[in-house]
Amino acid sequence: MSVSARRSRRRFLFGLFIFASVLLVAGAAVLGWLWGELARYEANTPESSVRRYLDQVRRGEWDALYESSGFQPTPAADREDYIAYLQRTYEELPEEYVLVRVSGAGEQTYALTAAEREIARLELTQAQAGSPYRWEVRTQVTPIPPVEVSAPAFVTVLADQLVLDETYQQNLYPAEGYGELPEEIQAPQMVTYRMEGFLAPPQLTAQGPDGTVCSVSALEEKEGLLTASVTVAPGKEQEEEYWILAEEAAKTYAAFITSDAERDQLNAYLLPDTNFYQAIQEFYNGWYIEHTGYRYENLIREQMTLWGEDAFSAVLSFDYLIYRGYKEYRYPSSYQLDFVRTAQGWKLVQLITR
Amino acid sequence: MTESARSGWGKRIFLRALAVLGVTLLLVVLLLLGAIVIICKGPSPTARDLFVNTVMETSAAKFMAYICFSQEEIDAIRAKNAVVETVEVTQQMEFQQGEDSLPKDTIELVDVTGPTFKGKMLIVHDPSRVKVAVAPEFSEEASGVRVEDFAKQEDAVAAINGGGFLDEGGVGKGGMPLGIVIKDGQMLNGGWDTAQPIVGFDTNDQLVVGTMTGRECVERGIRDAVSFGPTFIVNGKALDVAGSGGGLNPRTVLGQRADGAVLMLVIDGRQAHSIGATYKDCIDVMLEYGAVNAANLDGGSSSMLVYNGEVQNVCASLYGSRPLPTAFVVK
Repeated sequence: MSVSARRSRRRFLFGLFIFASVLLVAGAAVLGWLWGELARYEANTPESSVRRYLDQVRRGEWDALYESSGFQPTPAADREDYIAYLQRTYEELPEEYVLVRVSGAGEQTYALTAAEREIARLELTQAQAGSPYRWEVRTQVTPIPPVEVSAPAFVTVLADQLVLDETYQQNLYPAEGYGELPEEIQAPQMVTYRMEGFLAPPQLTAQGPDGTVCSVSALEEKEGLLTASVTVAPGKEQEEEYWILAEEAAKTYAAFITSDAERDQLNAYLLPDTNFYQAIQEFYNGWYIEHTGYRYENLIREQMTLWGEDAFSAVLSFDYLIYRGYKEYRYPSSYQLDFVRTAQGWKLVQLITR
Repeated sequence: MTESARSGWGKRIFLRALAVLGVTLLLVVLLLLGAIVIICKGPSPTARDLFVNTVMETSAAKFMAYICFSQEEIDAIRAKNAVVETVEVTQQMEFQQGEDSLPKDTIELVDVTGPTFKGKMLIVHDPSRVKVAVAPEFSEEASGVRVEDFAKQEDAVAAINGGGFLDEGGVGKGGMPLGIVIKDGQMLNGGWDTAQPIVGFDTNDQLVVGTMTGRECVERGIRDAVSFGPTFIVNGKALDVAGSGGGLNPRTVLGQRADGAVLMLVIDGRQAHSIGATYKDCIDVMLEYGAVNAANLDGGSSSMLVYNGEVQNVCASLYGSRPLPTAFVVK
């Protein structure tokens, strides 16, 4: 090869090297641009927005999550309730999850699932102008079903320290068993309160007049509602007085049925002009077979409930024994006795055999 | 210059041109490989999923996904990006004519656009005009019929491609349909007891979508149907979509509104003016147009819409539209 040919070849190879270098640099620039565009694209995808949101959750940035949630506090659910809701929802947030777009309220709604369990629903809305990202994410809040509490009207009911007043009153009705009293007697009233929008079952408490003891049943799901009821028991002294009265009335009733007590003896306990009173007046006890004696045994005081300051129910049971010669007949008896206070003292509205 | 010197010079020029071309090609291949690697392993898992689903839905470009991923990884990505299946099937209902319902003989052609796609929506207000057209013979050796020819053959106002077909290696002749084919109440292909996702019309001209056996189709009174999926909307409820719900590709979707109007959507793809649409995009478009039932038909280079004797979309294949065993035509 001649010198000029070698020079020409060197020049060509050098030129080719420069050409390849330029192409390489241009290619690298294109790949760099692609990387940047993909990063920008990813930052604005719903999936990426959800990832950032869940990172905030993992870091426990509850205040920031609340601020960006647009959550409107209500008497049933305030800021703390919302944060507690998020903490419960994301208590077991796995690293691996699947996002499934579902129909929903947001511009886009995603179900966050892991191991075929739905953890949460996330609503995505277009971010406001000035936001570095396209989507804003918030957790879809699903309140628990409405809570309904029934309680005697004379007690104050609280749900998470919030006093349930007339605003939440759904229904006012006479306590069971007191629906058909004579006009001059006021029936004890029951109230149903209804509240919506709780994010978790509320702590229900009740306060009655001094000395009374209020208890609230556990919430129970029933026909799309969470229901509970408040029962009130009298204080110790009052309770003893009421039990004595209930026992005497129940025993007199049992004795009257077996012709061991006079009608007037029983009538002394009864409230006139009630269905029960009328039934007793029409009841003929002369059929009861001759016997030589009677006795009460195994008396159990089961339950005492106050319906108001002037009404209570007592549930009790005992064995009523009848003697005929040397023979003993045992009749287990269980009664509910509903009393109301009148100008003439406590009177029995009705006695229900249980 | 002597003859040999001239010949040596010419050879040198040729070799040097070859070297430049080789280097250029090598760098272009490297660039493409680099781009694929960046898409697959780069900063965007969403783009990765979209890419894998897109190429896996094609007949010829599947190999691209295997450059970076194993079969298991690809399966996992595809599972994460799919329409969640349902067992629900279209229920019978009365068409509800709204105040804005147009006369039954109306056919509208509307442009449809999205961030990554362009397409056409044909709205046929009389569902009884929509029928299935079939190739003269169903067999692996027989050739199918192009959508334009289906329109001519059936003397139809409009036609879109139909169900799936045997397409080994992307070079099938389009003569052998996959799954159920029912025309005029006669089952021409598919098993009596094999459940298939179907897209078709019953004798009340209601679009029926969902998974059914041939026997169920006949019992339901399906008059015209093909097999394909996934189902997008059933009884007014859009199906849930995981991830992108498929890749970006040309799409054909058949839907029906509550007033009975049939929606025929064809989206262009694999082209500069329209990359294509995901399943999620298709569901959004069909919901926007009021579909209460809708399902996906064969896509890719099969996607075609012919209206008034003219092809309304741009076929994804440079070779033009594919011969197919079935199509939906508007009489």
